[in-house]
Amino acid sequence: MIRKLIQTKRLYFDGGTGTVLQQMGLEPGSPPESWNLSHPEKIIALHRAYLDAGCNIIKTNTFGINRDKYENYQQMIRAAMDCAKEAVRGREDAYIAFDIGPTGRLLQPLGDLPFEEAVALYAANMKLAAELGADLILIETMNDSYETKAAVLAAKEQTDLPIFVTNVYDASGKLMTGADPAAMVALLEGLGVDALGINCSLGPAQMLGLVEQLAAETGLPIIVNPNAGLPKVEDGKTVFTVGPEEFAAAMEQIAQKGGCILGGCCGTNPDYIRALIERTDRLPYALPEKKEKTVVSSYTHRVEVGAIPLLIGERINPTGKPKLKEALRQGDLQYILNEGIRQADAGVQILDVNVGLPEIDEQKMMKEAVCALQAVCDLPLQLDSSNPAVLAEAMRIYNGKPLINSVNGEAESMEAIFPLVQKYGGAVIALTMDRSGIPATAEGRLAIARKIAQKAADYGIPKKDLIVDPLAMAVSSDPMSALTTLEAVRLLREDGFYTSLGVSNISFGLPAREKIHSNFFTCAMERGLNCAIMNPFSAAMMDAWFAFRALHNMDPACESYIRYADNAAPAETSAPQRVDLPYAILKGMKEEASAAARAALMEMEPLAVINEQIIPALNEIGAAFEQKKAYLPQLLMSAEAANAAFEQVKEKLPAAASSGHSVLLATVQGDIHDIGKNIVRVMLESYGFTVYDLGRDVSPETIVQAALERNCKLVGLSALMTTTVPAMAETIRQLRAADPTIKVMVGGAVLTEEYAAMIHADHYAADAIGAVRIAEKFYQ
Amino acid sequence: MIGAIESAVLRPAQGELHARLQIPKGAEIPHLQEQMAALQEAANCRWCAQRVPILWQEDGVDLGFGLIQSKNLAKNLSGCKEAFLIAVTLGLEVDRLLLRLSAQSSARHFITDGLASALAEAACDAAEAQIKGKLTCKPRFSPGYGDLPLSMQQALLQFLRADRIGITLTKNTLMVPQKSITAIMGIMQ
Repeated sequence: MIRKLIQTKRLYFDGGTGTVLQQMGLEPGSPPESWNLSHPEKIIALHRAYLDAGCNIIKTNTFGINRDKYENYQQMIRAAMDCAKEAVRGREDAYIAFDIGPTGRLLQPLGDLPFEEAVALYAANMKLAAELGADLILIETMNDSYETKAAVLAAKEQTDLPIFVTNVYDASGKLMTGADPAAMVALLEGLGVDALGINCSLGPAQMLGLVEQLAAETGLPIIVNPNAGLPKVEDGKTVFTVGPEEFAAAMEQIAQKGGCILGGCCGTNPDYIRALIERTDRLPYALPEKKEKTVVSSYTHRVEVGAIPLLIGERINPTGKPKLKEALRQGDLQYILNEGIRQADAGVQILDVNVGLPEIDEQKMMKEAVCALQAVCDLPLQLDSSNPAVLAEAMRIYNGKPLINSVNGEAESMEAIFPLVQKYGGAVIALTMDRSGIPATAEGRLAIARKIAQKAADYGIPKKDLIVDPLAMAVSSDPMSALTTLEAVRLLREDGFYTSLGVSNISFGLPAREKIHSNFFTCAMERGLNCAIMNPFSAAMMDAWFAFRALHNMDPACESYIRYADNAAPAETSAPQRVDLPYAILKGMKEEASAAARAALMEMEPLAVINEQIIPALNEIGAAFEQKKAYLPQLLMSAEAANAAFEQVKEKLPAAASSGHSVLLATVQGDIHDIGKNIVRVMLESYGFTVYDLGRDVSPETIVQAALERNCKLVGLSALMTTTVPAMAETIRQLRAADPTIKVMVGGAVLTEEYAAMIHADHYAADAIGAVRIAEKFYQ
Repeated sequence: MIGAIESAVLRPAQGELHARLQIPKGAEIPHLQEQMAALQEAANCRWCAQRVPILWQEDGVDLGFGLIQSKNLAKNLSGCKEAFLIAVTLGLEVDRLLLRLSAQSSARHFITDGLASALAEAACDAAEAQIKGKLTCKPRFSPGYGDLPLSMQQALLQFLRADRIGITLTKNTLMVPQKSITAIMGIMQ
């Protein structure tokens, strides 16, 4: 009903709840939802006052209710729904929006609320809302894109009701956690909500620019529920600065800029809504035009396909990368994060994430990698797996609208992938192959693309969300392959498809491959290629991209080319200083230590480099630290330089010759401090220990399982807060129970020798050097 | 009251920074300029505050959100009839920056973390100046100092509606964004 209605006419929400209830006697500081049970007549009166003012949609008084905050949440929700139903009884054109706000907690990994727990908290409310007869769900005042996604998923999974979402933006036009309006549109349209918009925090005048931004991005009805201006304090009380008439005047402008569903938030009352309706209900009504943009998004911004060729960094894909394979086997997330950050710094717009290795649990690894990457890197991700179950997991927990790699023309592939896109949103790479393989002609590949687009339409997925990859194959085995692929790019573009290629495949089997594939890249861009999955650390590829943009008027005043060329130039002249290895380590010079190790390895055995150069230098700085002649920052820099040297040595060292001495580290459950643990890690690594770092906030079960799996007999635990020491004690207890031969060392600000003994730790490490000494002794 | 502070104007106090990095005063800090710049770029510094009457009870004080039994706080507020409650944060991008650095370089991570703590103190000083205006106040007193329990954080943040500036609390009463500070500041007559 509401879905149909908003196609044809402007609807009105009610206004503020808390501020009005306070005028009715609610104590400041006590929650409005407490009145559902204690003062239902007042809640009904509030709803009726708004309906009398002319609004169509009332919000239930349920904003702050959830299972976490109130044991009797169900009773409270029932009471609130009863009030709303009583208020709309006998009125036509009056609808109940079940209202839900943020949980007040931040999601993992920056906060401590697991994504699925957030979904479950919302799901409990949504289920009741549907049972009790709400007309729609309003998810409002959301200041985090990730939590917004959790709430929308819960609504989709528990109800068939229309879903309206409004976010709260600050004066800089962003959510508290970073998303701009365009990013929210990408996420929410992908999830398939019915209407989206803004509420709270700002007055209508400050929202005008945001409404324009939304209108430029979305084809959905835009909701605008502002405050009565900005709050200010008068005589110790918060008051709002904009009166009903001024409010209505500003809302008129908002309606003209595309606001479809209008109402108010904090500080507004029925007078504001009445004035708003008088002022706007005769204005012509139109939904925003449907937009033909192809976008993917991250927690901050959206990336649009089409204007310039986009670079998709391919370095997080184990194919042909032994170091990444090793990192995946070890569960080394730090390595993956670093590859992501380095590619972002190198200038890609999207990161491919593929963690598929036959011997690991890809689903679990994918989830961990996506969670870690999206917390620290603001680029949209391309989720890449041949296993739909892995994609499903990754798409669910992704904080934005992802790019998905991939679907192909086989019915089985489309039937697995398209329902996921329908549920979670996303743009999809469509490979032009099917059961009979890759067509030999460009026309054949276009035909498959059309077939995929047709099938996608059955799932409601528009053509614009498909990016077609006509597949580059080795030119060394088929002399026509490059020409066919280039022609396919041209045909596809002509047919209205965007395109992508794994560019480097073209040079497979040839020497000096870069020369071939960077030139192929240019040829493909000439034909209109939109995305390239590529290696941003390849200078030839980056040269091709920057030059192409400069030559095709895609780089105003050649600015980015000039910046790129300037940065690329000095690298050749400022080669690392030549110093000897111990000196480089003592001085904490990373690049120099790496170069010096390479030089030393020409003259010495790998083990000699370790024992005669690296370890003595580390011991020297360690001793200086213990004598307070050197300080922690220097010690850490030396350790990092030693690690860089170790990396070089390891490549020369036969695998069997490495010590195999390992230490497992973790910050215990509930604690998200990781500085101390990281310091211990880098010091242990610099002494040649293999460190399995499980990260922070790690449950006892995970630690036990990892220790057993890796057969690691020395575990280091860190806790920085007294509140998390019990988690440390519990971890030790479980480790003991699982394997009595495991030894545990502990450290952290709140621990002492006595405290460590009390929780049955084997060793107490006062500092990082102490931890190294314990590990050395253990393996003697 | 609610406000923001331009992070570019903040300068951490020297002694503060060196103490956090466990180095003697005057010792050189590697990567200082670069990490300071990264930090200021990431920081989105905001505060909120409220002026409240102090209700003196036999066994503690009430600042509007329940009885606080703390001898140290009572001593700190002695002679005052009113106080400011303050919350300040450097914002979530600083947490992300630190998380990023923890994957890249433990030296930079350690230095930047210390720098960020010192910057949060500086932000608190700047917020304090805006909040108190011409009033004379006692030194700030924060949950976790002396016998003032961290467990009051929840009620304090809720009372201040610190969610407006993005401060949340974990189940272990740790504030996120991590570089956030809450404080009580007695107003002298």
